[in-house]
Amino acid sequence: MKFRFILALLAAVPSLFAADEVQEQDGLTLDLEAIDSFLSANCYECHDDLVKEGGLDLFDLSGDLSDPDVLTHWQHVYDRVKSGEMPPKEKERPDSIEKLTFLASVYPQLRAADVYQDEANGRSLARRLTHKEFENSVKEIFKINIPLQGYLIPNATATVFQNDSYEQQVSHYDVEAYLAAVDAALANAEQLAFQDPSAQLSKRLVAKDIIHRNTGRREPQALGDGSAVVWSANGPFIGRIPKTSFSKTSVYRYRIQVDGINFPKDGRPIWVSVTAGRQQADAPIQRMVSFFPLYENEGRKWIEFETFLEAGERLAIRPEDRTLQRVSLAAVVNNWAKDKGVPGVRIHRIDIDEQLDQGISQAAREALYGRYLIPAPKGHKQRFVWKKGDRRAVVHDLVSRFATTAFRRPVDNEVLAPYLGIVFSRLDQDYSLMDALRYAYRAILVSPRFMFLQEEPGALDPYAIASRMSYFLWSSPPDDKLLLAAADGSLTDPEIRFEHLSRMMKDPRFQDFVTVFTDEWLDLDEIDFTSPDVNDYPKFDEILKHSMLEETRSYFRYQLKKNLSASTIARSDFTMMNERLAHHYQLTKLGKRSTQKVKLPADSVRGGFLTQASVLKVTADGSHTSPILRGIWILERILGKHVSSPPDEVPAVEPDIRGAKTIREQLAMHRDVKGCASCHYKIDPPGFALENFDPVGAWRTHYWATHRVAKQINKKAKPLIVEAHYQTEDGIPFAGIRDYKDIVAADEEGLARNYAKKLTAYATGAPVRFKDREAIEKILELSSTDGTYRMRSILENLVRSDLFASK
Amino acid sequence: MKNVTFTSRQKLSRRTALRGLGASAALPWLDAMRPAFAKEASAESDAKGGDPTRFVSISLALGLIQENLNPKDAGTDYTASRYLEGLQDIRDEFSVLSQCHRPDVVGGHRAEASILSAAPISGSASFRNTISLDQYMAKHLGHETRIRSLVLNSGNTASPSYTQNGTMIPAQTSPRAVFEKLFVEEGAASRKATAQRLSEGRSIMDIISADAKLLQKNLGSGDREKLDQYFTSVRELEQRLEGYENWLNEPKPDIEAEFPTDIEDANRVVERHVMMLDVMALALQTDSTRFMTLHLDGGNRTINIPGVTQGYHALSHHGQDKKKLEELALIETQLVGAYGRFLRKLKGMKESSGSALDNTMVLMSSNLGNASSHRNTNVPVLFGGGGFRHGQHLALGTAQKQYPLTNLFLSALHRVGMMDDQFVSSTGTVTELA
Repeated sequence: MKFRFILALLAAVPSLFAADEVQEQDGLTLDLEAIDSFLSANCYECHDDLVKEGGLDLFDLSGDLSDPDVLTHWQHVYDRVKSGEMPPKEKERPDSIEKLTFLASVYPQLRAADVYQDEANGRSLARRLTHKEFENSVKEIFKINIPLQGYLIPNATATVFQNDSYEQQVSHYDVEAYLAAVDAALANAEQLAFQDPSAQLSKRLVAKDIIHRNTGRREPQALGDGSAVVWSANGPFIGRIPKTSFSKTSVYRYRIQVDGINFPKDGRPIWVSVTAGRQQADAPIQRMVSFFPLYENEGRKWIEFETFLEAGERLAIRPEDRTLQRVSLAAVVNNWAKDKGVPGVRIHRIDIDEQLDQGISQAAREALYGRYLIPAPKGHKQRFVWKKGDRRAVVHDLVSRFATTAFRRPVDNEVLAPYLGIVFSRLDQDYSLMDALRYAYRAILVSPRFMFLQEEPGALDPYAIASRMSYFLWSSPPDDKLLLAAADGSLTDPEIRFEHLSRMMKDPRFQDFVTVFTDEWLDLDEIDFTSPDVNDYPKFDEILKHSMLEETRSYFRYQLKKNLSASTIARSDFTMMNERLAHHYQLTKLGKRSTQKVKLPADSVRGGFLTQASVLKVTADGSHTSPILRGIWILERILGKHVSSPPDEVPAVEPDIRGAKTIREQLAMHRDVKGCASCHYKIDPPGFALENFDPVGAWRTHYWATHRVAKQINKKAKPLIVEAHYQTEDGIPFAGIRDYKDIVAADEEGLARNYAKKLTAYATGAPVRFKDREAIEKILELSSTDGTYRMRSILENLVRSDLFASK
Repeated sequence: MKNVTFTSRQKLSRRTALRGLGASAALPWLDAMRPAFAKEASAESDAKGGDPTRFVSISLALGLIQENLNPKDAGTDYTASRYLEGLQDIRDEFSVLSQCHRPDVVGGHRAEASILSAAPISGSASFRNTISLDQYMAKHLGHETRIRSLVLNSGNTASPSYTQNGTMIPAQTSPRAVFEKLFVEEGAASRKATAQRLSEGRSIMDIISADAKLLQKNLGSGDREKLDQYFTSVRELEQRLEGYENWLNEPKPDIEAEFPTDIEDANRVVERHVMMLDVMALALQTDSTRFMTLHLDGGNRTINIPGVTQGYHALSHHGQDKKKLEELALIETQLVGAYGRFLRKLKGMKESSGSALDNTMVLMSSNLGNASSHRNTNVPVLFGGGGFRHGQHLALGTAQKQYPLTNLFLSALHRVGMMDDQFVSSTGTVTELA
């Protein structure tokens, strides 16, 4: 009973003091004298200037809350005391009244300091478009469809989200790269605008074209029945088809007709990949364009896709499944693969058409020149000419329209002046109208008005809301409907925002939100950071990797679509998978042609993010797993708990590759080291719970990778057995991952809170701060029914909130 | 990139190129651009036959095992340590400095940002970096070459090179792309287009600066700071575009070298490192740039060296485990070997006064001493070339009283002719090397 009473009081702390807000606002100094007795009774013993436990020296910590670092420290102190983490269990702890009095006395000041910062700057600073947002914006402005991110310099930031305005930087190298990307886009738009659609490039390839005339080992082989075949073989660039290349860089649509040969006996399909690239040793980068399974008895089928292809790049089509039999290139040339039962893909037809038609050409033309260009009279050497009229008026209209689109809000003459000025001055120097306009277009697209979201402290104006919504939900600029709602001011109405959200979630662009948010929240964008060791994980391949990513992204999308409970972050009775991934999960019988919802057996360890192969892969390196790294990852990304960096000069713990000691034994010793225990009792439980999963997310009962090395040293070494049982920081025992997931899923509110915070950080370009917590709690409250916190509801209530609609 | 050969032109410096074009046309511009102290430097370099002085930094994110690097005895008669055994043929071309640190630079891996800036790290979120040594040199002297500076990495795009406003310069990672930039001539049409683009680029930067004033009126202080950074970068680009324009019509150096083929496999990082060093040597030989940094990040790749079974980063946390130390030593031996190979290469390039090595300082260092426990003291330091008195093991500090590495930075600054009194925390120059 007493316990409950304390909880109720704790929950009441924020609201108790909300009323004092106004008078506390200018109090940016924490009254250290008032809390000194609490600190000396409970904290100084370990956190003084001598011991500095965990690197925290409270003697040295000032009360100047206008210093962001000082403020953060005190906020951590508040959180640790509130959660009961500090003072630690083994020490004497304050009674509940003492503790509440302390919390209540510092809360208003900590909050007020945050509010004060907000009023000056807003929660987020000027936010630069991310590379993805930049690409989508430029493509939308010119109505083009070529990739642009390749021109930009990858960000090397350490934070979770690329749009975190506090971390973003721009060097002059970046500005130069932006300019190069804009130039490429402009060149493409001009090319499309004047291209004769009847010059569209096309190819119709049949088997004899697909088989290279002087067939090398890597090209498709003649099968003897008139078809072209690519065998499942070892080596790079297999299945490359020289005739799929063009001398013109463009976007192409493909239809390929294929079937399989020598299917596996166990009824599994043959997985086939289509990759694009130059496909040769001096330019080895390939990108996955499409992948699909071929089943026996389904006959020939057509596969369709479109891809951007640079001049000289070509496609390769090949079986890509390392669980299937594979042969050497020599075997391919000798052509005995067929009789030896090696799986292969037969390619019968390839139809290729450049993505170019009247509509595409016209859209690009209007993006650049409005409707001022008209078809030229017969006999004229250009296809289009300018309409007759006042040139200055045309320039004014075109530049003003272009700037309005690019800046995502109306522009006045003062803003336009320098951009118009450069066009007029070029016209005066006898530049052609098209050449002169290009100056303004380039300048507009490196202007900070385009490159940064324009937001002023306080409540956002409707246009800023429109941009915030579209970059959040589409990674793209606002469409006409959002801009209309900005123009009439209705976007300031939460319910109107909600209506747009519902509409926007049905748009194909919403997939960009799903991809970017999961890439960054769950680190999926790091999936290529390490390549699994081919000796230890020989069955890992590109299609498996893409299938893993599809699982997590589709799963998240499904959570939103069905408005599932936040407990599904940790646990569910289904997952999203295709046959390749099902095979990886030892659930081959549940395999489907494409990634889709599959009900899991009752005893399955899968279901929920924690045991998805993608997550297990990004939290491991290429050879080994570390319960520390995985533990920290779960705490920070899923449970939303702050983990301090290890104190300087503490040796790290890594798996013992001699295989003599398990990581558990090592960690047990590590926890005895002073200063280590306080974090490791939090980190180790989730880490241990995941020990049954190897670096590619497959189930393991023994440490085979370390055993392989151990055997080289000692032939008699026995593989160590994985132990995943342990207890949580609260002392709740678990036998393994299933139990652990149940424990995590039970704290649905905690899962929901972390998800809401991550979502807010991504939506607004700034991490959730101390004073934002009340807003987050409000969102959670609105999103729960009978204790179930629903994931789409959280998204909806965030978009409705003032937190979302303020800088 | 085997069998790198060169055409008969032994010395392909900027000066050679100028002579071909008529020096009178180009030199006035150079003089106009050159700050006062660079003139002195140029007087000095004229005295030694016109060879420029250059600075190269090779940095490692994970340090080197100090017991394997630092000799046990100091002085010129030091006994070669395990890592230095392979460099004994060029023993007189470099020195090894032990017990050095960057004063007040702590924070383990976070100190990577201060490898060349030596900016004290407060451990605070509001930490702002200052200009790195290479960029400071390039800022004042970089305009004398086609490329002001090269910022490279054998793995990812992280770098220790920071601009004046504390922004990291993202590193280039493709030897092929660097090679193209340095040596592959654009066609006449493309050059013309580039010229137009550059001049357009400059007028665009003008407009942005004009708009900037208008925009900043309505901003909060936080935003103003953010946008200031953007405008500074815009202005810096403008200055660079001006520099490019001046170089545009001068032919790129004519060399005969095999085109490097990028290695995509991240596990082959040492091979990538060596390949990049080869391109860097070409850049120096042709005087395409005088300031370069090459960083090797601390990613956890399982490097393809026989006997290495674990990720590089994981190995760096060896905790004195013998097996791990041995695996790490296999990697580090190759990294130190690559440094030696680079010195030898420069030594083989003849210049008017001695070799390219005599005119090029080559520093290899790290932010970490003992990476296993994230210590930023007793960091590895190999310093070669540049005409200093080498062949020494300088035990300048002690475990308790570390020697400021910034003194070496100041020595390097003076060597390129920038006679500053201090670089960040320096207390003087390294007189033992003079």
